[in-house]
Amino acid sequence: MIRNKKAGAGVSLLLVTSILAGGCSSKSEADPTPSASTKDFVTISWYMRKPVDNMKDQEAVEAEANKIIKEKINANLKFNLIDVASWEDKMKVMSAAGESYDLVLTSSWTNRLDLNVQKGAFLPLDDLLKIYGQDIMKKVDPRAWKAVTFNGKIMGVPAQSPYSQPTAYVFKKDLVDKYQFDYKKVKTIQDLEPFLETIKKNEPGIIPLLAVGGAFMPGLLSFDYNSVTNGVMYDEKNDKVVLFYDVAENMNNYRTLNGYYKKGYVAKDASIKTDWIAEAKSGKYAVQRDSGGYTEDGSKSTGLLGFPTAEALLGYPMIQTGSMTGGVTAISKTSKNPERAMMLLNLVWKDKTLSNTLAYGVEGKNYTVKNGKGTDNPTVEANSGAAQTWAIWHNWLGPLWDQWDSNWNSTKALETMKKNNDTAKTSRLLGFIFNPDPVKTEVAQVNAVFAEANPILSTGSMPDFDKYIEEFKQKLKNAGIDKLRDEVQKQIDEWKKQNP
Amino acid sequence: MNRNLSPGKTLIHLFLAALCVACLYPFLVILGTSFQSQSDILKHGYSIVPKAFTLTTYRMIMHDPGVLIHTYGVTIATTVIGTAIGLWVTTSYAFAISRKDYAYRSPLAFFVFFSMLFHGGMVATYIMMVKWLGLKNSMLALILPYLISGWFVLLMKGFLQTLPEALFESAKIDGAGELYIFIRIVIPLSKPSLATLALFLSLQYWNDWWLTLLYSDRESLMTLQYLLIRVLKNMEFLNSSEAIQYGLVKEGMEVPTLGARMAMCVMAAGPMLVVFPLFQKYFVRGLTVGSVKG
Repeated sequence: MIRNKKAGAGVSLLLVTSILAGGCSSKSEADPTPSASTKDFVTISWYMRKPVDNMKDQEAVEAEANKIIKEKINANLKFNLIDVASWEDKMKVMSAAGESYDLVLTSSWTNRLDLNVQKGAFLPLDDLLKIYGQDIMKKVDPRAWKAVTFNGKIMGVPAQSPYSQPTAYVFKKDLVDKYQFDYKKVKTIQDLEPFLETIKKNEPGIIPLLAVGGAFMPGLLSFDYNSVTNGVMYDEKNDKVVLFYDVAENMNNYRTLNGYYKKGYVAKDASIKTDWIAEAKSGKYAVQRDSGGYTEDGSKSTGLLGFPTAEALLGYPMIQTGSMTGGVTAISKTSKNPERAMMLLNLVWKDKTLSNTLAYGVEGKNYTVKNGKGTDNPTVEANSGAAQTWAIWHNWLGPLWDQWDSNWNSTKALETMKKNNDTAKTSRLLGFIFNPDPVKTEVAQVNAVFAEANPILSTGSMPDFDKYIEEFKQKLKNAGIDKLRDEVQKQIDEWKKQNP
Repeated sequence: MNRNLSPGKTLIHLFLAALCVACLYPFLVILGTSFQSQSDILKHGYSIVPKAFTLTTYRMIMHDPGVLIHTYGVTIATTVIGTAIGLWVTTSYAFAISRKDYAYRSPLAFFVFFSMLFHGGMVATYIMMVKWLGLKNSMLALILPYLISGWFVLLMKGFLQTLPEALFESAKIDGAGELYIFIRIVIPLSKPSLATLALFLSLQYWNDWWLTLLYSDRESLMTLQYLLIRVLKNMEFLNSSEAIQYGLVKEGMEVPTLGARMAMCVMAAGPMLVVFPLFQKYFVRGLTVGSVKG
């Protein structure tokens, strides 16, 4: 017993000293001498979804980056880039099988953060961040920490990205010019009517409005409502849970869309089409959604669609949990060197050259410096198109605002994004994640009803709107939407108590 | 010509011809569409005769012919090796449990039967393959898992049981050992069912992409089907707004996802369409022989 106690004391003493040592070393920024824990040379594996298929220069880029990493933290970084086709499944079996790896890309839309946390695949990062992640703490938007906190523990490092992507209507420029339509005044779906009518009358080859089965169409829902789960929404203005069909102004917008459909502004077979961008690119439509992000001159959607466009901004959606967790880096529970993994991550956030090397590649091979060579802030031209063989998205790596001025993202564009982030409204429910387990059956049934109704709703293609909505409501009621709402309300109430 | 074509027969012939056309039609649509450009498909829909004949889809898929040829090589190699070894393993196992004079007959049969009903699931398999056997990124990982399957063993056993026991006894009297009996008597006698089994096995290996997904990160072990899936997923990604944002696709460039889907279908199915008719006659016989008792 005595022996054990002694041993315990020794261990805790060791822990304290190592923590102290770590704390000291990260505070003294100017001094890059590795702390005690970086004595052994280790390899950190980082699993990431392959951003570009053709990543031929991976070894060269890693070698270049590892020069910095070895010098600073005595480690070696190895990217495991898994292509889109197998990424999701592979990560699932890997964590289920308990295979050891260190860093991994996770998010709200790929290799989902919340599901991984539920399975216990990740390490809580609070302590590691405090000791080794000071530079990360400085740069991450404080609101974003909320979105990655589960049961009071930080489970991932949220990357910087445009958290609130604007939504807009895109017009074919030649048609807007031809009919002198004041597109900038468009603020709602109703404002489109005069233009759609003109097009229908005068342009036989053109379908006035692009709608596609099941795909989001701007102007149908207001920015004040966030969807918690299918059918249940959160009214941000009045701070309460409402049902999808009880939001009068939105139902009104759907009714308008149905009117458009009946007047022939929407393609007759819209509900069976699925590929929004492919349809938009065909150039058959006068008005469509903006798929890239609003730019005042329409240059973004022109680039995407391939014909001159004009854009009307509808607004910026509220920042929600999902939009803040587009790219999060987590440390696996199976990691053998969690401290070093955090140090590496911190270095990526701290060291501009390192993060840009990982994103742009090797100078002269994957990018060239246009001007400002040798300075901290050069303007670079990265390989693009087929010539590009290396690129990891900055918003998967972490820091975005540190990016060098380049032909992908100009400083101005980055500043605009940052300003949008800083000024955008934030949802009251930031960090809340609905747990569907207690109402699994209801969720599945409601989802089934929506799967069936979405193509009709999003294209307005029902013969009788009121009758259809009545039936839709009844189906949702039968599926148990009231029980679902009560559960959402209950969970939000509990969550609010803990997160006032 | 003057073979008696009664109205009834004519009707049957016409009906069969129509059936043939109905079966061929979808494939012709696939073939035709694969030569269409994305915008033509969007404007005019799928059709057998392309409005403007184009090879962009094929060019896109084969942008790196080296990789494609390599994946064909991997697929053919796994198919041939897997089928050959799989045939031997399955047949010998089935032969053993089909012999009434074999002591461990029922435990071994139960083993097969049990594994058909219950299996460890994906994770257990993965742990065994990767951690215990250390087969990640190895060619064996693409071959081993399909070598033997309970269903094929039982199929084969069903056939082998129809061979008369007396045959083996007389062979033994003439001084033949078990291996000799198996190679010189059983295998030649079971040609039709072996051909059937070979077809099943080779189809399984040919169509597989799942094993590549799970057990291999290496480009050099990529199979054809996996490459095709990857190309398709990449094309879908190239059509997204992120791809434009990061300069992967030049402005206004067309990525022919719709046509490519069809072109891939042609490329993946093509070789099998040639192989299948060769097996066909055995296929029918093999199954019949297998299911007729005595």
